[in-house]
Amino acid sequence: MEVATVGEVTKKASSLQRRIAAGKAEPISDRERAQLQELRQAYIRRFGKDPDARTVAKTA
Amino acid sequence: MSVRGRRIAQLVSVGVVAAAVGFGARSLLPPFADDAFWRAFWSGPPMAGLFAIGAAAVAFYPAYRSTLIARENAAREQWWKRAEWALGQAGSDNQTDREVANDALVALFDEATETEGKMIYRTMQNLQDASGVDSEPVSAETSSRWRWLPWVK
Repeated sequence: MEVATVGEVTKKASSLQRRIAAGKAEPISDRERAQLQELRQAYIRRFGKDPDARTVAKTA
Repeated sequence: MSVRGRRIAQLVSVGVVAAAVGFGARSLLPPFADDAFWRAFWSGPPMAGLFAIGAAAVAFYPAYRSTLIARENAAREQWWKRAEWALGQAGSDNQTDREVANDALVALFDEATETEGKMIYRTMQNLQDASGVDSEPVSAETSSRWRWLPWVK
């Protein structure tokens, strides 16, 4: 399994990515990536925020 | 119009209607209308009929509101069932199935709350992101070097 550590969180490849890497699933198409971007744009348009923006935990 | 704006508009309309009805009724009462006809009207069957209509309207509103809430809850439940299906399909091995599911998720996003929208986006992103999915750091207490202890699971 592909595991990478970024900051304090560990990044694990999703089961789909592992299946793609193993040749058991078809790769992600350009259309799928375009659909994700379409959803991102719709999210920004509707809520005025970037869904990629991480929530900063309040301390103290 | 936003939910808050709609609520304010409803309150203002109810206030205006109530003020108009109050003003109308007050102007008909003595000494403004010291007339035999109006006295008979206010104390006779027509007024009883109007009160019955008013009581029916008062009883109707909560029933109507609860019907609206039930309908909305049923629609939300249906939405979640479709989203659940699409999210399941979005992780399919088949490219076409995933594209269909993503199209469904984009369509379902129109009815989603902000949290649900973020959940849909993150799920799609995590499935497509080759760098991986965030996961919690492994606790030192349950790391493999402590696993041999019988009380550590």
